[in-house]
Amino acid sequence: MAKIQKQFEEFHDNIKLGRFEENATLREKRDIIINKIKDGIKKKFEDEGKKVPTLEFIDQGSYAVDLGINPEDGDFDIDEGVIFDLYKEDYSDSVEPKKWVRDIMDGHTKIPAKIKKPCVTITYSLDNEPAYHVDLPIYFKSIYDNRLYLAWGKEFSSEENKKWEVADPKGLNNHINNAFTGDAKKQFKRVVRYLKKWKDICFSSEGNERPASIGITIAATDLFNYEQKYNSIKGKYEDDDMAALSNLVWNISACFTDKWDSDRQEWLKTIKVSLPVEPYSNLFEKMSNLQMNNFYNELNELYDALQEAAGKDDAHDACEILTKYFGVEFPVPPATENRYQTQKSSAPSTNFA
Amino acid sequence: MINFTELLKQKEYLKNLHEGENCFTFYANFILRNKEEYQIKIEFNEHFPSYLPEISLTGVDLKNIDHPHIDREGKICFLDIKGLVWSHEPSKCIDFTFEQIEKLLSLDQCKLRYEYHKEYDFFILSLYNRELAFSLGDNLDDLEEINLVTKKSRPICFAKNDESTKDILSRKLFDDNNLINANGIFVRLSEPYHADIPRYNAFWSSKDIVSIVKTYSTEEVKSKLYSLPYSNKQNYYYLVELTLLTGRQVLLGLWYRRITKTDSRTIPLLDSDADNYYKIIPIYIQRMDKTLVDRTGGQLFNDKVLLIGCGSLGSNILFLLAQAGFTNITIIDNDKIYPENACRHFLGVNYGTKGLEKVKALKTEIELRYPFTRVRPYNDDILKLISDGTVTFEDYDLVIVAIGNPNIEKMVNRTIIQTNTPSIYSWIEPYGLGGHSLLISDSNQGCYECIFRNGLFNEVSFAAVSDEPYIKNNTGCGGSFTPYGNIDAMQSALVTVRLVLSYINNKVSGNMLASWKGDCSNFISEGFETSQRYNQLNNAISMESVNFSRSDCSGCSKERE
Repeated sequence: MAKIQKQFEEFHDNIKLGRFEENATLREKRDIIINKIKDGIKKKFEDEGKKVPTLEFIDQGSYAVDLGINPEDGDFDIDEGVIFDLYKEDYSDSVEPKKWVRDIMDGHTKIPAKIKKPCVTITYSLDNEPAYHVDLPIYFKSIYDNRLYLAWGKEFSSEENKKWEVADPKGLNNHINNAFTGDAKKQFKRVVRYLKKWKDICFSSEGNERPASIGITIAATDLFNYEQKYNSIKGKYEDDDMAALSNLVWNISACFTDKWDSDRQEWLKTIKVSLPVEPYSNLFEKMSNLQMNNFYNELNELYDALQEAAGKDDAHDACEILTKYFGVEFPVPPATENRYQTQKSSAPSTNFA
Repeated sequence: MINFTELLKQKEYLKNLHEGENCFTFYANFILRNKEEYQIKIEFNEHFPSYLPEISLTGVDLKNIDHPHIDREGKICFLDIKGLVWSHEPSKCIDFTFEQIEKLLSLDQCKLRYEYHKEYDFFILSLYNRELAFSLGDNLDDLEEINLVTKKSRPICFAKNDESTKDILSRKLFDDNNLINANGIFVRLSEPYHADIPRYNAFWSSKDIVSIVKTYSTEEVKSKLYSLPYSNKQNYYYLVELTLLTGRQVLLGLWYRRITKTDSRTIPLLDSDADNYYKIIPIYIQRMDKTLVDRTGGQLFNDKVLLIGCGSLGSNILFLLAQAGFTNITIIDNDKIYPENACRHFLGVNYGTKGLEKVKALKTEIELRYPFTRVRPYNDDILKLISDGTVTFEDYDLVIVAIGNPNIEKMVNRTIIQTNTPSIYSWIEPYGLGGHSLLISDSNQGCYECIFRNGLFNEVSFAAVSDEPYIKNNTGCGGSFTPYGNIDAMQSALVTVRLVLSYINNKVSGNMLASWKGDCSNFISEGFETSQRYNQLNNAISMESVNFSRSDCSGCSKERE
C-alpha cells in the first residue's frame, strides 16, 4: 500500500476555502451587506414610525463550519442568516420581510437581488460573470416558543407555498462544529472536503444530480471515524486520510436502502439522512430515486477506486487513480522512472517488491 | 577519484547535503517521491560503484524503529545483491541505490509484518541468547515425542524417532564422543501464524508461548498436549513448527532450562509461570531434513534406481543422482579402489590407499554427504547376481548400466528387456571424443544390443571401425584402461543424469540417445579415425529420439515376437 498521506494533505490545501477570517475580501463584502441591511431596516421602520427591530446575523453554510472548498465554477457561495427580533405571528406573509431585504439591497449589485424559496440572493459579478453570491435566509421568532422560523417562499408563490418553517441554524452549526475535536476534527474536515470535491468532479451540476453538500456533511458527522496508522520508522501514529475516507464512503453507501420505483418499475437505492435539528428533513429529498441510485453507484465506484489505489505499492500509481475522482488538484508524485535514471538489469531487484 | 559531493549535489531528491567526518561520508535529507522526508547518512566505499553506498537513518529515535530492513544502528538493508547487476555509471548507481531505499521506506505498515516473516531466519538468529541446533526427520505427526542429541544438556540435534532417522544419526554426522541422547516434543502449530517474529532481546515469555500454542494449534493437538505427563525435569526441549505469513513452515526450538529449584510438576510449554523456574532459550534450527533439497531448487525422488558399474563414470553418476535428490539407490560393482584407478574416480586417491570395495566406500561417502539417500551395495558380479536371483530388475524403477564392458552390458540388456523396467546405458569414448547415454523404455523401438551392427560395431559410436582396441596398458594384463580424462567421466555422468531427470519427470519417453561431442585431435593423433556420426554431428550435446530396432537383434527380437 503506497503512502500518500502527504498527497492527500496537499490536495486539501489546494481545494480548501478558508473561513471568513482568512478571506478579507469576502469578509468585507459580508460586512457591507450586514451594515446595509441594518441601516435599511432601521430607516424603513423609522420611516413607518415603528420600533426598529434588533437584527442578528449568523454565519451559515460551509464558511461557518470551515468546510468550504473552492467551487469548480468559481461562484463562491456565502450564507448569512438574518434573524429579526420580530414574531412571525405578526407577519402572516412570510415573503414580506424577504421583500424588505431585497428592496434594501436593490441596486447594490449589477445583477438584481433575487428572492428564492429559502433566501434572498445577492449576486456579485466580475466582468459580467457571477463571481460569488450571498444567500440571506431570513428568520423570525415566535411568541409561543424560543425557536426560529425561516421565511419560506418566492415573491409570487401561492399562499400554500409561503410559510414559516421551523429552523435551527445555530444548532446545525453547533452539531457540525462539536462533532469532533483536535486532530480527529482536522481529519474530518479534510475528508468532508475530499467528498465535496469528488461531488463537483463526478456529478453533473444540472438539476439535483449532485448530492447536497450539507447531506454529505451531516452523514459524515455520524459516520466518520478518525483513522491513524503507525509509522514504524518514526515510531509514532500518523493520520491516515485514505483509510478514513474509504471507511466513510463505505459507511455512507451502507446507509442506502432498496426502494421500488413504480415509475421505472425497478428497485433503486435510496438514502435518507435527516437534518439533525428541526425540521429534521431528509437532506437528500430533492434528489429523485434515480439520482440517489446514481449517487450510490458513484460512491461504490469511488470506494473501488480508493481500494485499488490503496492496493498500489507505488505512490505515483495510487495518485494517478485518484485524480480521476478528485481532479487535477490531487497531486501525483513523479513516476519512479522519471526520477531515478537506472538501467534495466537482467536480474531486476525484486526483493522488497 | 569520484567527486562524491558533486555527484550527490546533482540529485534533487537530496536536500541539505553536507560532508561528514571524512570524504566518504555525507549527510542529507532524502525526499521521497511522496514528499516524505528522512534524514540520512551516506557512506561510500572506496570501491564504489562496485560496492553500493551504505545508507543509514539519522534524526530518528533508533530505539523506536520497528522495521524489518533497518537495523538497530539505523542502517538500511536495502538490497539483497545476489544475482543483481547495476550500472557502474556513478550517477545511475546513486539513482539505483535511492530507488531501492525509497521502495523500502515506502513499505506500508501492513506489509512490514510480512517482511518480518520473510526475514524469519535473520530475526531468530538475532535473538540475544539463542542457541543453534540441527533437525532431522520428515513427516512428523502434529504432536510426537522426538529424540534429541545433546552435549552437556545443550541441544545439538532434534531427530524424529524412527528407523531411517536413527540410521542417519548413526552415520556419525556429529563427530563428538560426549553426546547424550534425550527426549523432546515436536508440536505443529497448524494455524497460520500471523503475529510478530521475536527479535533481538525480546523473546517470548512463557505466557506468550502458552498463548501462541493455544492460538495456533488445532483442538486435537491441544488436547494431546494437555494429556502429556506433568513432570519435574532439569531440561525440557520442544521443537515447534510454525506456518509463517509467507506460507513457509519453519521450526523453532525451545529449551526450558531450570534455574530455580521447584518441587512442582509441570508441562512447561503450557505453563504461563514457567519462566519463574526456567530460562527459556530459543534455538535456531538448521534443518537437515528434506526441505534442504527444496532450498536448492531440487526435489526428492523415491524412485528405486539400480546403478550397475561404479567406476569413474558410475561413481560420478551416483554422486549426481544423490545430489539431484534420489533417495533409494542400489549399486553393484565387484571392484576395489586402488591408487591407480582412484584419480578419476569420484572417491579420490585418499580412498584408493585403503583398498576398499568400491560399493561400500561409496555407500559410506554418499550417505554421509546426503543424509536422505540410502545406498544399498552389492560387491559382486552383475551376471552372477542376475543368475542367482539376487537382483531382479522388476524391483526397480530405473536401471543405469555403466559397466564399461559392452559384452556384459549386452547380457544385462537381454535380462532387462524381458521386464518393463526402463534402462539407461552410459559409456565414454576414448581420448575425449565424447560420451553417450541411451534410454531404452520402449522395446518396440529396439534395445541396447540393436545399436551393434552385426553384433559388433556400435552404430552411435564416435570412433570409426578399428581393428585396434582403444585401451592402454601400463602394468600388464590386469592394468589395461580406456584412456579418457576425469572430466570426460563427469561430462558423461552429467548427460546421463540429465537424461534420468528428463525421463523421471516425464519430459521424454520411448528410446532416447543423448551424446556429448568432444575434441578429436588426441584420438586422431593416436592414428584412429572418427565415425561418420561424429563428423556429421554439429552440436556439442545432442539428444534425440531413436529407433534402432532390427529384426535380427539377438537381444530384443524375440521379445517383440
